[in-house]
Amino acid sequence: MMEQGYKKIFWGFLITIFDINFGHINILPDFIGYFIMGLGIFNVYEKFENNNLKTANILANILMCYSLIMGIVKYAAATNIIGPGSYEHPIYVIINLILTIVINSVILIMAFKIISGTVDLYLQREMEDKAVILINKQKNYTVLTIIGLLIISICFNFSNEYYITASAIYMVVVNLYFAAILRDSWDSGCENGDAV
Amino acid sequence: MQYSKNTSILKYGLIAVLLCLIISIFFYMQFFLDKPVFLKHYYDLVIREDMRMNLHFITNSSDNIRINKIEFPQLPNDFAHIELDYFTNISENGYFRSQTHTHYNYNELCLLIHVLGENENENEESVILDKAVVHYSGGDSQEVDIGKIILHKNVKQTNMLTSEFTKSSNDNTSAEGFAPADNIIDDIFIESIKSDLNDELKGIFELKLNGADVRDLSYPIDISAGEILRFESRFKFEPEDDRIYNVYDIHGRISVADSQGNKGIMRILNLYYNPSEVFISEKGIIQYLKEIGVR
Repeated sequence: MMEQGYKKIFWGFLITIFDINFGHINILPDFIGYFIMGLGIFNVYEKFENNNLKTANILANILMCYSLIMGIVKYAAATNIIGPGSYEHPIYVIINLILTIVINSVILIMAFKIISGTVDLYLQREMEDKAVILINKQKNYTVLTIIGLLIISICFNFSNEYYITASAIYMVVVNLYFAAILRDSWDSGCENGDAV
Repeated sequence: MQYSKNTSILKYGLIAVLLCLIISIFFYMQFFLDKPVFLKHYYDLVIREDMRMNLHFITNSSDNIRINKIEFPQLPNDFAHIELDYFTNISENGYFRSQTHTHYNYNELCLLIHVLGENENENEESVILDKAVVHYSGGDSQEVDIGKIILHKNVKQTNMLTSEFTKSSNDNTSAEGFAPADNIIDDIFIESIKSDLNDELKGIFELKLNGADVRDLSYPIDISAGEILRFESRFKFEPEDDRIYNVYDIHGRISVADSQGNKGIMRILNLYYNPSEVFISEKGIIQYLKEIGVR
Protein backbone atom coordinates (compact mmCIF):
# COMPACT_ATOMS: atom_id res chain seq x y z
CA MET A 1 0.00 0.00 0.00
CA MET A 2 2.81 2.38 0.92
CA GLU A 3 4.81 1.40 -2.19
CA GLN A 4 1.70 2.08 -4.26
CA GLY A 5 1.46 5.47 -2.61
CA TYR A 6 5.04 6.40 -3.52
CA LYS A 7 4.53 5.11 -7.05
CA LYS A 8 1.49 7.36 -7.42
CA ILE A 9 3.45 10.34 -6.10
CA PHE A 10 6.25 9.52 -8.56
CA TRP A 11 4.04 9.13 -11.64
CA GLY A 12 1.85 12.06 -10.67
CA PHE A 13 4.92 14.25 -10.36
CA LEU A 14 6.26 13.09 -13.73
CA ILE A 15 2.94 14.12 -15.33
CA THR A 16 3.34 17.62 -13.89
CA ILE A 17 6.90 17.91 -15.28
CA PHE A 18 6.09 17.12 -18.89
CA ASP A 19 3.42 18.80 -21.00
CA ILE A 20 2.25 17.02 -24.13
CA ASN A 21 -0.10 19.17 -26.18
CA PHE A 22 -2.46 18.10 -28.91
CA GLY A 23 -3.44 21.39 -30.49
CA HIS A 24 -4.73 23.57 -27.67
CA ILE A 25 -5.41 20.54 -25.48
CA ASN A 26 -2.83 19.26 -23.01
CA ILE A 27 -3.36 15.52 -22.98
CA LEU A 28 -1.44 15.20 -19.67
CA PRO A 29 -2.78 18.18 -17.72
CA ASP A 30 -1.03 19.10 -14.49
CA PHE A 31 -4.18 18.81 -12.38
CA ILE A 32 -4.34 15.08 -13.12
CA GLY A 33 -0.72 14.79 -11.98
CA TYR A 34 -1.43 16.63 -8.73
CA PHE A 35 -4.60 14.57 -8.22
CA ILE A 36 -2.59 11.35 -8.53
CA MET A 37 0.11 12.79 -6.24
CA GLY A 38 -2.56 13.71 -3.68
CA LEU A 39 -3.92 10.15 -3.79
CA GLY A 40 -0.40 8.76 -3.37
CA ILE A 41 0.40 11.00 -0.42
CA PHE A 42 -2.92 10.03 1.16
CA ASN A 43 -2.10 6.32 0.69
CA VAL A 44 1.22 6.80 2.49
CA TYR A 45 -0.47 8.92 5.16
CA GLU A 46 -3.05 6.17 5.79
CA LYS A 47 -0.19 3.86 6.77
CA PHE A 48 1.96 6.45 8.46
CA GLU A 49 0.14 9.41 9.98
CA ASN A 50 2.51 12.33 9.87
CA ASN A 51 2.02 16.10 9.87
CA ASN A 52 4.50 16.62 7.01
CA LEU A 53 2.60 14.22 4.78
CA LYS A 54 -0.69 15.82 5.79
CA THR A 55 0.63 19.26 4.77
CA ALA A 56 2.00 17.82 1.51
CA ASN A 57 -1.42 16.34 0.76
CA ILE A 58 -3.14 19.70 1.34
CA LEU A 59 -0.62 21.43 -0.93
CA ALA A 60 -1.09 18.79 -3.66
CA ASN A 61 -4.84 19.44 -3.54
CA ILE A 62 -4.30 23.22 -3.71
CA LEU A 63 -2.02 22.73 -6.72
CA MET A 64 -4.61 20.47 -8.33
CA CYS A 65 -7.32 23.15 -7.97
CA TYR A 66 -5.01 25.89 -9.25
CA SER A 67 -3.90 23.80 -12.26
CA LEU A 68 -7.49 22.94 -13.11
CA ILE A 69 -8.58 26.60 -13.02
CA MET A 70 -5.53 27.80 -14.99
CA GLY A 71 -5.98 25.00 -17.51
CA ILE A 72 -9.56 26.14 -18.16
CA VAL A 73 -8.51 29.81 -18.37
CA LYS A 74 -5.63 29.06 -20.78
CA TYR A 75 -7.84 26.89 -22.98
CA ALA A 76 -10.55 29.56 -23.03
CA ALA A 77 -7.99 32.25 -23.94
CA ALA A 78 -6.34 30.10 -26.60
CA THR A 79 -9.68 29.39 -28.26
CA ASN A 80 -10.87 33.00 -27.82
CA ILE A 81 -13.80 31.95 -25.62
CA ILE A 82 -12.95 34.70 -23.12
CA GLY A 83 -11.76 37.17 -25.75
CA PRO A 84 -8.34 38.04 -27.06
CA GLY A 85 -7.72 40.89 -24.61
CA SER A 86 -7.09 38.76 -21.57
CA TYR A 87 -3.41 38.04 -22.24
CA GLU A 88 -2.59 41.21 -24.10
CA HIS A 89 -1.73 43.61 -21.34
CA PRO A 90 2.02 43.59 -20.66
CA ILE A 91 1.34 43.49 -16.93
CA TYR A 92 0.28 39.90 -17.60
CA VAL A 93 3.99 39.06 -17.90
CA ILE A 94 4.59 40.26 -14.35
CA ILE A 95 1.49 38.47 -12.98
CA ASN A 96 2.55 35.33 -14.83
CA LEU A 97 6.05 35.54 -13.36
CA ILE A 98 4.72 36.04 -9.82
CA LEU A 99 2.36 33.06 -10.26
CA THR A 100 5.21 30.94 -11.65
CA ILE A 101 7.40 31.74 -8.65
CA VAL A 102 4.56 31.22 -6.14
CA ILE A 103 3.48 27.90 -7.67
CA ASN A 104 7.05 26.61 -7.92
CA SER A 105 7.58 27.63 -4.29
CA VAL A 106 4.45 25.68 -3.29
CA ILE A 107 5.73 22.69 -5.28
CA LEU A 108 9.09 23.00 -3.48
CA ILE A 109 7.38 23.09 -0.08
CA MET A 110 5.20 20.12 -1.01
CA ALA A 111 8.22 18.13 -2.17
CA PHE A 112 10.13 19.18 0.93
CA LYS A 113 7.27 17.96 3.14
CA ILE A 114 7.05 14.64 1.28
CA ILE A 115 10.77 14.07 1.86
CA SER A 116 10.46 15.19 5.50
CA GLY A 117 7.58 12.74 5.99
CA THR A 118 9.66 9.99 4.44
CA VAL A 119 12.61 10.84 6.71
CA ASP A 120 10.22 10.57 9.68
CA LEU A 121 9.11 7.19 8.32
CA TYR A 122 12.71 5.97 8.07
CA LEU A 123 13.47 7.16 11.58
CA GLN A 124 10.39 5.42 12.92
CA ARG A 125 11.62 2.24 11.25
CA GLU A 126 15.11 2.85 12.64
CA MET A 127 16.63 3.22 9.18
CA GLU A 128 18.96 6.02 10.25
CA ASP A 129 21.49 5.55 7.45
CA LYS A 130 18.82 5.98 4.82
CA ALA A 131 17.37 8.93 6.71
CA VAL A 132 20.77 10.69 6.65
CA ILE A 133 21.11 10.08 2.92
CA LEU A 134 17.58 11.39 2.33
CA ILE A 135 18.21 14.50 4.43
CA ASN A 136 21.25 15.25 2.27
CA LYS A 137 19.20 14.76 -0.86
CA GLN A 138 16.51 17.03 0.59
CA LYS A 139 19.15 19.71 1.13
CA ASN A 140 20.46 19.30 -2.43
CA TYR A 141 16.97 19.46 -3.92
CA THR A 142 16.04 22.50 -1.84
CA VAL A 143 19.20 24.42 -2.75
CA LEU A 144 18.95 23.51 -6.44
CA THR A 145 15.29 24.55 -6.58
CA ILE A 146 15.97 27.83 -4.77
CA ILE A 147 18.71 28.56 -7.32
CA GLY A 148 16.21 27.80 -10.10
CA LEU A 149 13.63 30.14 -8.57
CA LEU A 150 16.26 32.90 -8.28
CA ILE A 151 17.14 32.41 -11.95
CA ILE A 152 13.45 32.57 -12.96
CA SER A 153 12.77 35.63 -10.78
CA ILE A 154 15.26 37.73 -12.73
CA CYS A 155 14.47 36.23 -16.13
CA PHE A 156 12.56 39.16 -17.59
CA ASN A 157 15.48 41.50 -16.99
CA PHE A 158 17.93 39.22 -18.78
CA SER A 159 15.49 37.46 -21.01
CA ASN A 160 16.50 35.98 -24.24
CA GLU A 161 15.50 32.67 -25.77
CA TYR A 162 18.66 30.86 -24.63
CA TYR A 163 18.30 32.08 -21.04
CA ILE A 164 14.64 31.08 -20.82
CA THR A 165 15.28 27.69 -22.47
CA ALA A 166 18.28 27.02 -20.20
CA SER A 167 16.34 27.92 -17.04
CA ALA A 168 13.37 25.75 -18.12
CA ILE A 169 15.69 22.79 -18.77
CA TYR A 170 17.40 23.41 -15.43
CA MET A 171 14.07 23.24 -13.58
CA VAL A 172 13.07 20.05 -15.41
CA VAL A 173 16.40 18.44 -14.41
CA VAL A 174 15.94 19.51 -10.77
CA ASN A 175 12.40 18.10 -10.77
CA LEU A 176 13.67 14.84 -12.28
CA TYR A 177 16.12 14.73 -9.37
CA PHE A 178 13.15 14.87 -7.00
CA ALA A 179 11.43 12.13 -9.02
CA ALA A 180 14.60 10.02 -8.56
CA ILE A 181 14.47 10.68 -4.79
CA LEU A 182 10.85 9.44 -4.77
CA ARG A 183 11.84 6.31 -6.67
CA ASP A 184 14.57 5.56 -4.14
CA SER A 185 12.06 6.15 -1.37
CA TRP A 186 9.71 3.38 -2.37
CA ASP A 187 12.62 1.02 -3.05
CA SER A 188 13.95 1.68 0.45
CA GLY A 189 10.47 1.47 1.98
CA CYS A 190 9.89 -1.96 0.41
CA GLU A 191 13.17 -3.26 1.72
CA ASN A 192 12.03 -2.78 5.25
CA GLY A 193 8.43 -3.83 5.82
CA ASP A 194 6.21 -1.93 3.45
CA ALA A 195 3.20 -3.90 4.56
CA VAL A 196 2.91 -1.90 7.73
CA MET B 1 19.31 13.80 13.43
CA GLN B 2 16.76 16.18 12.03
CA TYR B 3 16.06 18.16 8.91
CA SER B 4 15.77 21.47 10.78
CA LYS B 5 18.84 22.78 8.95
CA ASN B 6 17.11 22.04 5.66
CA THR B 7 14.00 23.82 6.93
CA SER B 8 16.14 26.91 7.52
CA ILE B 9 17.59 26.62 4.01
CA LEU B 10 14.04 26.40 2.65
CA LYS B 11 12.78 29.34 4.72
CA TYR B 12 15.67 31.72 4.01
CA GLY B 13 15.89 30.55 0.42
CA LEU B 14 12.25 31.44 -0.21
CA ILE B 15 12.76 34.83 1.48
CA ALA B 16 15.72 35.42 -0.88
CA VAL B 17 13.56 34.46 -3.87
CA LEU B 18 10.84 36.87 -2.71
CA LEU B 19 13.34 39.73 -2.33
CA CYS B 20 14.91 38.95 -5.70
CA LEU B 21 11.46 38.91 -7.32
CA ILE B 22 10.52 42.29 -5.82
CA ILE B 23 13.81 43.87 -6.96
CA SER B 24 13.45 42.29 -10.37
CA ILE B 25 9.89 43.62 -10.83
CA PHE B 26 10.94 47.08 -9.63
CA PHE B 27 13.87 47.08 -12.08
CA TYR B 28 11.63 45.85 -14.89
CA MET B 29 9.03 48.56 -14.26
CA GLN B 30 11.73 51.23 -14.72
CA PHE B 31 11.92 50.20 -18.37
CA PHE B 32 8.19 49.86 -18.90
CA LEU B 33 6.51 51.91 -21.63
CA ASP B 34 2.88 52.88 -21.08
CA LYS B 35 2.29 53.12 -24.82
CA PRO B 36 4.29 52.23 -27.93
CA VAL B 37 6.69 55.00 -28.98
CA PHE B 38 6.63 55.93 -32.67
CA LEU B 39 9.77 57.27 -34.30
CA LYS B 40 9.72 60.44 -36.40
CA HIS B 41 9.34 59.66 -40.08
CA TYR B 42 10.45 62.09 -42.76
CA TYR B 43 9.10 60.77 -46.02
CA ASP B 44 8.73 62.56 -49.31
CA LEU B 45 6.99 60.07 -51.55
CA VAL B 46 5.55 60.14 -55.04
CA ILE B 47 2.81 57.61 -54.50
CA ARG B 48 1.67 54.92 -56.89
CA GLU B 49 -1.09 52.33 -56.55
CA ASP B 50 -0.19 49.53 -54.08
CA MET B 51 2.94 51.31 -52.93
CA ARG B 52 4.15 50.49 -49.44
CA MET B 53 5.52 52.64 -46.67
CA ASN B 54 6.66 51.53 -43.25
CA LEU B 55 6.13 52.96 -39.79
CA HIS B 56 8.75 52.31 -37.10
CA PHE B 57 8.01 52.12 -33.39
CA ILE B 58 9.19 50.73 -30.08
CA THR B 59 7.13 48.53 -27.80
CA ASN B 60 7.75 46.67 -24.57
CA SER B 61 9.13 43.25 -25.45
CA SER B 62 6.32 41.81 -23.34
CA ASP B 63 3.59 43.59 -25.32
CA ASN B 64 1.22 41.24 -27.07
CA ILE B 65 -1.06 43.94 -28.40
CA ARG B 66 -1.62 44.11 -32.11
CA ILE B 67 -2.28 47.11 -34.25
CA ASN B 68 -5.67 46.71 -35.91
CA LYS B 69 -5.83 49.93 -37.87
CA ILE B 70 -3.96 53.17 -38.47
CA GLU B 71 -5.78 56.33 -39.52
CA PHE B 72 -4.29 59.59 -40.74
CA PRO B 73 -6.66 62.43 -39.82
CA GLN B 74 -4.94 64.80 -42.29
CA LEU B 75 -5.38 62.46 -45.24
CA PRO B 76 -8.34 63.59 -47.40
CA ASN B 77 -10.79 60.81 -48.18
CA ASP B 78 -10.44 61.31 -51.93
CA PHE B 79 -6.61 61.44 -51.93
CA ALA B 80 -5.60 57.94 -50.95
CA HIS B 81 -6.55 55.08 -48.69
CA ILE B 82 -3.86 53.67 -46.42
CA GLU B 83 -4.27 50.34 -44.68
CA LEU B 84 -2.20 47.66 -42.98
CA ASP B 85 -0.52 45.36 -45.45
CA TYR B 86 -1.66 41.98 -44.20
CA PHE B 87 0.48 40.12 -46.74
CA THR B 88 3.68 41.72 -45.48
CA ASN B 89 3.03 42.05 -41.74
CA ILE B 90 3.38 38.35 -41.15
CA SER B 91 5.62 38.13 -38.10
CA GLU B 92 4.22 36.54 -34.96
CA ASN B 93 3.10 39.87 -33.50
CA GLY B 94 1.61 41.10 -36.76
CA TYR B 95 4.46 43.38 -37.83
CA PHE B 96 6.72 43.34 -40.87
CA ARG B 97 9.94 43.11 -38.85
CA SER B 98 10.93 43.18 -35.20
CA GLN B 99 14.27 43.46 -33.43
CA THR B 100 13.75 41.81 -30.06
CA HIS B 101 15.65 42.93 -26.98
CA THR B 102 15.30 42.24 -23.26
CA HIS B 103 12.88 45.06 -22.47
CA TYR B 104 11.98 46.54 -25.84
CA ASN B 105 11.21 45.55 -29.40
CA TYR B 106 11.99 47.78 -32.37
CA ASN B 107 9.21 47.11 -34.87
CA GLU B 108 8.42 47.96 -38.43
CA LEU B 109 4.84 47.94 -39.69
CA CYS B 110 4.09 47.92 -43.39
CA LEU B 111 1.28 50.05 -44.81
CA LEU B 112 -0.29 49.70 -48.23
CA ILE B 113 -1.28 52.83 -50.14
CA HIS B 114 -4.21 52.86 -52.55
CA VAL B 115 -4.19 56.02 -54.63
CA LEU B 116 -7.70 57.29 -55.33
CA GLY B 117 -8.53 58.95 -58.65
CA GLU B 118 -4.97 59.28 -59.86
CA ASN B 119 -4.61 61.19 -63.11
CA GLU B 120 -1.27 62.49 -64.37
CA ASN B 121 -3.07 65.04 -66.54
CA GLU B 122 -4.48 66.77 -63.50
CA ASN B 123 -2.54 69.11 -61.27
CA GLU B 124 -0.12 67.53 -58.84
CA GLU B 125 -1.56 67.22 -55.34
CA SER B 126 0.31 66.85 -52.08
CA VAL B 127 -0.63 66.20 -48.47
CA ILE B 128 1.46 66.44 -45.33
CA LEU B 129 0.78 63.93 -42.59
CA ASP B 130 2.25 64.47 -39.15
CA LYS B 131 -0.36 62.72 -37.00
CA ALA B 132 -1.67 59.19 -36.96
CA VAL B 133 -4.29 57.51 -34.83
CA VAL B 134 -3.32 53.96 -33.98
CA HIS B 135 -6.05 51.50 -32.97
CA TYR B 136 -4.94 48.52 -30.90
CA SER B 137 -6.52 45.11 -30.58
CA GLY B 138 -7.48 45.70 -26.95
CA GLY B 139 -9.74 48.57 -28.04
CA ASP B 140 -7.34 51.39 -27.09
CA SER B 141 -6.28 54.04 -29.53
CA GLN B 142 -3.34 56.43 -29.48
CA GLU B 143 -2.68 59.65 -31.37
CA VAL B 144 0.98 59.76 -32.30
CA ASP B 145 3.33 62.31 -33.80
CA ILE B 146 4.82 60.49 -36.79
CA GLY B 147 7.14 63.25 -38.06
CA LYS B 148 6.40 64.61 -41.53
CA ILE B 149 5.18 62.40 -44.31
CA ILE B 150 4.60 64.19 -47.61
CA LEU B 151 2.66 62.30 -50.27
CA HIS B 152 2.45 63.52 -53.86
CA LYS B 153 0.00 62.21 -56.44
CA ASN B 154 -0.82 63.02 -60.07
CA VAL B 155 2.91 63.47 -60.59
CA LYS B 156 3.63 63.34 -64.28
CA GLN B 157 6.43 60.85 -64.71
CA THR B 158 8.74 60.97 -67.68
CA ASN B 159 10.33 58.31 -69.81
CA MET B 160 12.98 60.68 -71.13
CA LEU B 161 15.42 59.15 -68.64
CA THR B 162 15.90 55.48 -67.96
CA SER B 163 17.46 53.94 -64.89
CA GLU B 164 20.77 52.29 -65.81
CA PHE B 165 21.78 50.89 -62.45
CA THR B 166 20.88 51.19 -58.82
CA LYS B 167 22.55 50.08 -55.63
CA SER B 168 22.20 50.71 -51.95
CA SER B 169 24.30 49.73 -48.99
CA ASN B 170 23.76 49.30 -45.28
CA ASP B 171 26.33 52.05 -44.64
CA ASN B 172 23.54 54.51 -45.54
CA THR B 173 24.85 55.19 -49.02
CA SER B 174 23.21 54.56 -52.35
CA ALA B 175 23.83 55.17 -56.01
CA GLU B 176 21.60 55.28 -59.06
CA GLY B 177 22.47 55.92 -62.66
CA PHE B 178 20.26 57.44 -65.34
CA ALA B 179 20.74 58.02 -69.04
CA PRO B 180 18.57 59.63 -71.70
CA ALA B 181 16.23 57.02 -73.22
CA ASP B 182 17.29 55.46 -76.53
CA ASN B 183 14.54 57.30 -78.42
CA ILE B 184 15.80 60.69 -77.23
CA ILE B 185 17.89 62.31 -79.95
CA ASP B 186 17.98 65.94 -78.89
CA ASP B 187 19.45 67.20 -75.68
CA ILE B 188 17.25 67.22 -72.61
CA PHE B 189 17.43 69.46 -69.57
CA ILE B 190 17.29 68.88 -65.87
CA GLU B 191 15.39 71.85 -64.50
CA SER B 192 15.69 70.91 -60.84
CA ILE B 193 16.52 68.12 -58.46
CA LYS B 194 14.62 68.57 -55.25
CA SER B 195 12.82 67.23 -52.27
CA ASP B 196 10.26 69.01 -50.11
CA LEU B 197 12.25 67.96 -47.04
CA ASN B 198 15.40 69.97 -47.77
CA ASP B 199 15.22 71.77 -44.43
CA GLU B 200 14.84 68.57 -42.46
CA LEU B 201 17.71 66.97 -44.38
CA LYS B 202 20.14 69.85 -43.98
CA GLY B 203 23.44 68.68 -42.53
CA ILE B 204 22.66 64.98 -42.56
CA PHE B 205 22.08 64.16 -46.20
CA GLU B 206 24.01 64.78 -49.34
CA LEU B 207 23.05 63.98 -52.89
CA LYS B 208 25.65 64.29 -55.60
CA LEU B 209 25.31 64.25 -59.35
CA ASN B 210 28.52 63.12 -61.02
CA GLY B 211 30.42 64.14 -57.90
CA ALA B 212 28.88 67.61 -57.41
CA ASP B 213 26.34 68.46 -54.72
CA VAL B 214 22.97 68.94 -56.42
CA ARG B 215 22.37 72.13 -54.38
CA ASP B 216 25.48 73.72 -55.89
CA LEU B 217 24.61 72.98 -59.49
CA SER B 218 23.38 75.60 -61.94
CA TYR B 219 20.08 74.69 -63.53
CA PRO B 220 19.00 73.88 -66.16
CA ILE B 221 21.59 71.21 -66.82
CA ASP B 222 22.02 70.15 -70.39
CA ILE B 223 22.15 66.38 -70.89
CA SER B 224 23.21 64.93 -74.20
CA ALA B 225 22.29 61.52 -75.56
CA GLY B 226 24.40 58.72 -74.14
CA GLU B 227 25.49 60.74 -71.12
CA ILE B 228 25.28 58.91 -67.80
CA LEU B 229 23.98 60.70 -64.73
CA ARG B 230 25.40 59.10 -61.62
CA PHE B 231 23.61 60.06 -58.43
CA GLU B 232 25.26 59.18 -55.15
CA SER B 233 23.64 59.76 -51.78
CA ARG B 234 24.73 59.47 -48.20
CA PHE B 235 23.14 59.93 -44.79
CA LYS B 236 25.71 60.98 -42.20
CA PHE B 237 25.00 62.15 -38.65
CA GLU B 238 27.18 64.15 -36.30
CA PRO B 239 27.66 62.48 -32.90
CA GLU B 240 25.19 64.72 -31.03
CA ASP B 241 22.59 64.89 -33.78
CA ASP B 242 19.39 63.33 -32.46
CA ARG B 243 18.07 63.00 -36.02
CA ILE B 244 19.96 59.72 -36.07
CA TYR B 245 16.84 58.22 -34.48
CA ASN B 246 14.54 59.32 -37.32
CA VAL B 247 13.47 57.41 -40.40
CA TYR B 248 13.98 58.95 -43.84
CA ASP B 249 12.58 57.86 -47.18
CA ILE B 250 12.96 60.36 -49.98
CA HIS B 251 11.90 60.15 -53.58
CA GLY B 252 14.31 62.68 -55.04
CA ARG B 253 12.49 64.32 -57.93
CA ILE B 254 14.41 65.11 -61.11
CA SER B 255 12.40 67.57 -63.21
CA VAL B 256 13.23 66.84 -66.84
CA ALA B 257 12.28 68.85 -69.94
CA ASP B 258 13.08 68.55 -73.62
CA SER B 259 13.39 71.19 -76.32
CA GLN B 260 9.73 70.64 -77.35
CA GLY B 261 8.57 71.71 -73.93
CA ASN B 262 7.65 68.22 -72.69
CA LYS B 263 8.18 67.91 -68.96
CA GLY B 264 8.09 65.17 -66.42
CA ILE B 265 9.50 63.83 -63.18
CA MET B 266 11.96 61.00 -62.66
CA ARG B 267 12.29 59.60 -59.15
CA ILE B 268 15.60 58.80 -57.46
CA LEU B 269 14.94 55.82 -55.25
CA ASN B 270 16.83 54.27 -52.33
CA LEU B 271 17.33 57.56 -50.52
CA TYR B 272 16.50 55.79 -47.32
CA TYR B 273 17.69 55.63 -43.75
CA ASN B 274 16.38 53.97 -40.60
CA PRO B 275 18.06 53.62 -37.18
CA SER B 276 18.19 49.81 -37.14
CA GLU B 277 21.97 49.95 -36.65
CA VAL B 278 21.52 52.32 -33.68
CA PHE B 279 18.87 50.05 -32.18
CA ILE B 280 20.78 46.84 -32.81
CA SER B 281 21.54 46.86 -29.08
CA GLU B 282 19.05 47.85 -26.41
CA LYS B 283 21.42 50.58 -25.24
CA GLY B 284 20.54 52.59 -28.36
CA ILE B 285 16.80 52.31 -27.65
CA ILE B 286 17.27 53.30 -24.00
CA GLN B 287 19.36 56.31 -25.06
CA TYR B 288 16.66 57.35 -27.54
CA LEU B 289 13.88 57.01 -24.95
CA LYS B 290 15.93 59.11 -22.53
CA GLU B 291 16.46 61.82 -25.13
CA ILE B 292 12.75 62.12 -25.91
CA GLY B 293 11.94 62.12 -22.19
CA VAL B 294 9.98 58.88 -22.07
CA ARG B 295 12.32 57.31 -19.53
